[in-house]
Amino acid sequence: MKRRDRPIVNRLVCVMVAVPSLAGVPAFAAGEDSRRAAPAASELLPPEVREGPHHLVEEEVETDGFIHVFTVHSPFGRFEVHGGDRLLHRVAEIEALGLLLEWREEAIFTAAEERAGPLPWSDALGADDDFESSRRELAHVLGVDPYTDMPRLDEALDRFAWAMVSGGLPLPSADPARDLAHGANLRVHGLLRDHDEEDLERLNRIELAVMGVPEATREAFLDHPDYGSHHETALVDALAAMEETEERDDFIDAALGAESPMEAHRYRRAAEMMRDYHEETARLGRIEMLDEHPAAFSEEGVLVAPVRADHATWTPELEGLADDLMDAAEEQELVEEEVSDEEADVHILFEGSLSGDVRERLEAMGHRVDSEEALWMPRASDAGDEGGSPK
Amino acid sequence: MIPGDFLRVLGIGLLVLSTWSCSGGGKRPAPRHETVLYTEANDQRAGEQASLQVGGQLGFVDDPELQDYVEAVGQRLAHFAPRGRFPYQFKVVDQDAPNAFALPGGFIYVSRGLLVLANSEAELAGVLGHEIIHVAARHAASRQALIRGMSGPMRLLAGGSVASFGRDQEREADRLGQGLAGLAGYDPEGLAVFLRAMEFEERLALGGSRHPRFYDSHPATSERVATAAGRARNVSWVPKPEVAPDRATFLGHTEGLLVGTSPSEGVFQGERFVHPELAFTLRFPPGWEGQNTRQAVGAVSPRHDGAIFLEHQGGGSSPQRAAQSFLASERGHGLRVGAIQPIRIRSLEGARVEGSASGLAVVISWLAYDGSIYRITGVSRPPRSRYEGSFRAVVRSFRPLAPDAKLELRERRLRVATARAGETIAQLSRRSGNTWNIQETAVMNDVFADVRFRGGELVKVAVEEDYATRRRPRASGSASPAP
Repeated sequence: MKRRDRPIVNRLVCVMVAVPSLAGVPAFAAGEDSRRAAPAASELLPPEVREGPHHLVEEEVETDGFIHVFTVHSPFGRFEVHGGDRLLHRVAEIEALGLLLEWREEAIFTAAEERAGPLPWSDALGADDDFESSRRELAHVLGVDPYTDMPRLDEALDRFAWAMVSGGLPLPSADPARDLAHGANLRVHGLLRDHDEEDLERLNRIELAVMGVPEATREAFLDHPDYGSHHETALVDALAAMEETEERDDFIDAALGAESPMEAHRYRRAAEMMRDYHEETARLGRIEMLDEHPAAFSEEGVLVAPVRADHATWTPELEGLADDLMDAAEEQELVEEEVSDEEADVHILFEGSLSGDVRERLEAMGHRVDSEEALWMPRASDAGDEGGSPK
Repeated sequence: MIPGDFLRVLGIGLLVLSTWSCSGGGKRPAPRHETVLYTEANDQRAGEQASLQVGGQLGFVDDPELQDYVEAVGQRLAHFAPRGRFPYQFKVVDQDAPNAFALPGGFIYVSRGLLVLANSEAELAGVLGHEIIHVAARHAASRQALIRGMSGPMRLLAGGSVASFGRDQEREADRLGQGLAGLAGYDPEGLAVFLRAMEFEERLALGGSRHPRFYDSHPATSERVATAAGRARNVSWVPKPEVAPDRATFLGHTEGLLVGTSPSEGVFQGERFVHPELAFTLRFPPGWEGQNTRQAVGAVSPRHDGAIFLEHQGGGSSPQRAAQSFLASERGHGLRVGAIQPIRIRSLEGARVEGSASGLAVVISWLAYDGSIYRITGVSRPPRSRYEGSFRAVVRSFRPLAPDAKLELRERRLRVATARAGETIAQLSRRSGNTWNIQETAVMNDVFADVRFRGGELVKVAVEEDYATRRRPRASGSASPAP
């Protein structure tokens, strides 16, 4: 058995996975300095995402090399949104708020609000189980996170839930298109609907214990201010789905290092991407943290690393990750002569598309690039030089 | 056997007949009502209703100390469980098969058969944790559509399979149940150990009558054992002192439990049925399959085209009035009968009607005995003459139990023996009067059949004793070291 003369780089396979949202890892968090122009919103987004009754995505889009930065205008303010998945959530929230405000003008709501009386102070509301479950149900119907960070939507959910519980307002039915944001993970949205925050924390605590996460780490993660119920539950649920994957506690240990909700979100998405790979491509046997970058070895020995990218370009960060992956693979003695050219030793999972320069560099170096068009939104002009070509 | 309602028992007959008639037509009776489990409040209401049926149909082990112990273990787990708003409660039902099940809203039950089989508190905690997760995840609500065709009583009578959850739900309950046990300070391997015992016990029971069990409708037990054992090695947990601090105390809680069926609810001796507490006996037709539940005792014809059941209708001394009262209560429910005819069985006054219900021929007799009214219902596919003679013979065979007949009844109780150094199971069994065979004893104690004890081990044995009372006789102190 011999090592390859030319190591892992020849085995690097970039797989663009077909998932509806984009996320990443801390290594690729870029600041405003590195931003540059990206294709226009009208080229990137389907019409219903670009523009709706209560929002408009600005035509000009920036990118940090991996993530698109969108600007959304609405009657409820201007929002800067990082990443395609977060754009979908924000658009869903804006439209949900618009819908609620329209409903508030209707007689049935006015009558229910009158019957319900003034909204109690928030602590009293939080102790009302019926109110909480109605609120979660309403958020689910609208396709939004019940623990939204959008204050006006938060308040509107409160008012409607109060009118439902105390004023007899029936649960409104929303346009199924509002469920856009649910597409990412129906199970997690179901958990958010069916359990209150305390329940979710208890469920997550049990799941973390099953994964072998020690009590101190477990409690620190559950108390982490940047993981709200949604991120916390989605991350835990994704790791729990990889039941026989070892060292999942290392992932939680690393995720504790998140220093902002954005970073927490990236860890969550990394876990979800790994879960999808585990369920759809090959079972992951063991988590392998490359510094703070989550990766995992499949049961067949392939090293798998999720990378956040709406549209990846060749950057020093990406090159650095490739180096790390090569080192890790070599340490595991994965690069062996017996491995056929058809098999890959390393999979980098991109959740979007690859720019022409990434593709060219990889292919010029002898890489095989398997690409699947990201399904979260059609890319009208991206199938040519600048984008990953769809199969 | 306790008082029940006629249609429910008639429903048993219909179910039996409809099973027979899978190839020949016949309908299962439609359920009368159903609580739809939309919300947690619905869960609790449905659970409360069904819990009353559990008490009525299975009964509880009359041992407050044991009930308190199981409740204490359950509450320790429930402290960490989701849906803390549910009033989780834990009871031991009087069922000989190893079984556990959960009702929506937090009502959780383990059978005495399960406690006889369990060897540690961690095993019990694993089972209770599994059931708590079913409740907390509201598995019943999501499975409701699949069980909508069966009424609650039917589910229980048809096999206690209230816990007929889907395979994914069972796997989730195993996984999170082990996590819950770990959080509460119990060895998560307890569930795996118990499942393995269940698997062995099931193999031993093959060929015997099949009872509803904890893992009915669950994934294959061997798969569950392997998965649970593997998972247990990974679960993060810190041991905490158990409610029963040692094996002797644990066995002390379960010692004295009845093993197998309880004579207090009546027993079959061949075709003859003897009820020591209600002090009567009667004989069913030769070759018919006897069934004894808390609602009724009865038998089904070999071709499943006829059935006869006896129920305790209530207190009273006038069969005529009991018949009138019953027929009035059933008016409008499809039962059509002729005039009430007086009958006499030796010194016992009785009454009888003939008629039909749901296309079946029905013969109902009432007998007054010892301050109670007993109702005996025969149902058959037409013509009525097919089993009329058999039904009359059953009614005529009803008679008071001779005073000494009770003394002939025997029952088996769980006892604890202390092994001697170098002793085998066979030797220990001879010395202690153990009626389990070597394999059964090995499974019940989680040891190999060819074990040679080091000496001092506490070994569960099943000892045949005179029939005593409904209440479980205990040895003094904790696990009684027996002979």
